[in-house]
Amino acid sequence: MNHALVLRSLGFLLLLEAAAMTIPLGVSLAYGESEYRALALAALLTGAAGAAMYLGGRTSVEGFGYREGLAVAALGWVLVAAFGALPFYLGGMFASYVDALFESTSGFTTTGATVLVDIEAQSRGLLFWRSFAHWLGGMGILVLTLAITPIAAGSTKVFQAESPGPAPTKLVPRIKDTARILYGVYFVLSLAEVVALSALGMSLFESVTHTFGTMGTGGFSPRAESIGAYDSPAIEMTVVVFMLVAGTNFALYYRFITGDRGAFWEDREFRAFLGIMLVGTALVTLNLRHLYYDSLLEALRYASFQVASILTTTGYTTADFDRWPEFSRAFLLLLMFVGGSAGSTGGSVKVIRIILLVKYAVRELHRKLHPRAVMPLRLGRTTVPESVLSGILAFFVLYMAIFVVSTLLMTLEGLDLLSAAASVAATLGNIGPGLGLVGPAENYAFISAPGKLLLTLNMILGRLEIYPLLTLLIRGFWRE
Amino acid sequence: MQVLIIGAGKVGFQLAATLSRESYNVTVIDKKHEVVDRVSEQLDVLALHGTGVSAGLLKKARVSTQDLLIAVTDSDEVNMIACMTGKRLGVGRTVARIRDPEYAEELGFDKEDLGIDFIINPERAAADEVTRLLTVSVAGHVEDLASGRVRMVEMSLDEGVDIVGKEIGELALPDSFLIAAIARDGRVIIPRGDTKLCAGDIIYVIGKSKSVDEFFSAIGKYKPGIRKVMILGGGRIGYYLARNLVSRGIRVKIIEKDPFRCEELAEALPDVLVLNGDGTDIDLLKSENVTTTDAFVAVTGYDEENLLTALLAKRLGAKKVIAKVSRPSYAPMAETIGVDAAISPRLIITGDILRFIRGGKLLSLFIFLGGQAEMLECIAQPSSPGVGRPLAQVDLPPNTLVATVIRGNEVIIPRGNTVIRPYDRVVIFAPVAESPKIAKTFGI
Repeated sequence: MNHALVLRSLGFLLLLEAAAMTIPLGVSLAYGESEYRALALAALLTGAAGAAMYLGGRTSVEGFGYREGLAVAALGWVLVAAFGALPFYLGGMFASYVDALFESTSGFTTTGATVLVDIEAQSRGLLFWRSFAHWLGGMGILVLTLAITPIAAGSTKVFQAESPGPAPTKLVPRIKDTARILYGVYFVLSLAEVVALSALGMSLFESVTHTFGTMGTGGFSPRAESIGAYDSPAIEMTVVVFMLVAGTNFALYYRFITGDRGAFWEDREFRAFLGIMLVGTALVTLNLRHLYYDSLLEALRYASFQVASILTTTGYTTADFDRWPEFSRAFLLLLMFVGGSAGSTGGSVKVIRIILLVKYAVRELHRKLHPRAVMPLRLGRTTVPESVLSGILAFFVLYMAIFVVSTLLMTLEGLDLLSAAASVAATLGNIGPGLGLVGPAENYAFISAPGKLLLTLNMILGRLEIYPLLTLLIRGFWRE
Repeated sequence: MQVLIIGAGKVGFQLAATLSRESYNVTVIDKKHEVVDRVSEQLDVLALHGTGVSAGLLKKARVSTQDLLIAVTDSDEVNMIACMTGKRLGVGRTVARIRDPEYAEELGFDKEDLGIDFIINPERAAADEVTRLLTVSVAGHVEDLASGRVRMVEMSLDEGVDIVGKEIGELALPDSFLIAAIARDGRVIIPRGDTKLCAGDIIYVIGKSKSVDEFFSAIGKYKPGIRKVMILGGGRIGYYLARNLVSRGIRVKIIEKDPFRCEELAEALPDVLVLNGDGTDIDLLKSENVTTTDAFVAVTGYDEENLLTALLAKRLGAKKVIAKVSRPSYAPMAETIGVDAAISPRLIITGDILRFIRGGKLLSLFIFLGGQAEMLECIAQPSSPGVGRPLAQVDLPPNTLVATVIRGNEVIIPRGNTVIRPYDRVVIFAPVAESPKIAKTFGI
């Protein structure tokens, strides 16, 4: 392990975060709020820590190995979340640092689970920072670093460690250019949503913060009632569209722009993603029709928003779905284990892994009939290597193991089984609102400090897709 | 005509033998001394030792005066480069054998740049042949001539067929239909009205496609379309064959020994069930339902394995079995021991190359009976000895038969008084050795 290089990289990451804090600082100053002091102090502290680590480390010719990449990804995310909590803590949003850490982690991991009881009483500078974290964490703070820093060596490993999905692909020969393209697409799409929401009558501040929450598939809103506060079908459908846009593999946009007209339709994952969205919306709409809403159209309006929100792991709400019929609640809980596409800003297991797991299971059935058959698993026209398959299988086992153990621990908190399971599914999958005690009308504030720390850990595990953080716990990782 | 053949393996040797028997002056280049020795001992050709990619050697073989260069070495790359070099040194036309599916499929558009006029791919040709055998709906070996208007079928007669034991004159044959030849005990007979058909005979019939199909349905040999095929051996023939069959909606299973090749096949052929195993493993064959398969095709690299597993499959219940047989001496035997058809890539491509050499005048040509006899199709040239007089007066070699005459849209089964007109397309069945004489008769 090249400690000096890891230290320098982490330092650079914090310097970048300090720079990012100056944006909410500007917002705070523009609105003439007193919390600008907390933001300035947090930026200074973060910057100082970053500078110290940067100067303490060394750039080394040896560059990054796989271990360094994993270490930077795992430690980087923990540090960024920890320093990102400072504005909330210093600004008086929370009395306890654990609450501030929960909120900050929930922001960067694009979870959107909140411990904030009275959202609308908060200052705009801090609310901006809370949402801005979604936007930074959505496409990846390390990917952002790669896009703008001169550190080139070993960057592929960092990219792989942070990018969602089983096999991240480069779009162009250089990882730096790939990162720039991804952020470029991300920026343009975000700009489009700000314009669309503003045009529909939302204030600029709320348009921007909601865009951060949508494009990062986060879910923090400056309004207590989330998107439901506007009660506007036009705004809801705009957000649905952009949630789906954010839940799609960003590489597809690039391929489409560069002339591959079939990029979307030929992509099996995209087709499955849309298929789940359409079938899910239809099922929930039918289930809701008679019970809660006057017309089919109304049912469709709320169902489509909630299915898109949970499927893409955003977590915005327009209705208290915890009060929906059992089928809809159960369906939404299961959707929490699907998530967005690989290479999107969405979290959870990812559609592609679900597709491959299903195909894997079906293949085992066929194998019973033809024990000698050689049956490679294919996705569209390409064959999926067995190594990727076993990786996915292991990922799923670890994911479910973390879910089960965390759920057990949460029941020790005194949560009922449904609330405990939903709280873990919603944080591990980076969704936000769960069911029961942590439902969309509730928040996570009542949970004890150890419980909050456990869920915080779940959020980071989920965002980094488990491996980077868990490998740090293996003893062999630190040995030469 | 001057022909230069590079590589005297199975195909090269067969070509040299066939061409030198006709009026071609053949030069052969091979890199193995013993092959060169064998060629010069057995054939009346000039044999040179060396590699065909060497410009020096090609010059020594007087490549600039050669009309045709045929590159049939083991290596695709050598064949391509030999053609390229030959072309630059001034050879007339070039033929290259290219077997790698990647090359064979992609060379289509840039073969001119490489100086190749004609590409032959023995495995693909063999696979196409088997595909035709399996999908054309009469039993036996089928060739279509004159864009499908004329059909020729080779079929072995077994006890049950009700024409066995009868004289040809007694049979009620459809219009424009002819039993052109009979192979009995490995010899070719041109039948007459009083020739009796025996069990074990292989008959060659030719005629209008409709009449041929009528004949076979009358004797109960019109078989239903096949739906399931099992292929033993996942080499190139197996690959091309599976691809052909799948594209016709047939369910295909391939059995291949090599696990790595299995993976390649499974990747390349998504709709085919690829099984890793040994074709002689009866349990595997049974558990994969060889007993109900419509056809079993054995195309491994070993003739013996192909023949034996084909017989095994037949005994287990496969309706039709086909074996690839490379050795010419095995081919006639295959059909007598119960294999429904034996295919030989070498004979198939020898036919293809001869057809190419003869150009537009001999339109189509197939070799039967392990190279003893062939089917020729040519356009009769004006003022040649075969034109303008009744066939009975035309001087044809023994055991030769003018089987069909195609005049415009008309298909004629000729009789003694039929007169061939200039530019008629004539299909002739003849012993291989007689083809130069026939070419002369029709002015080719």
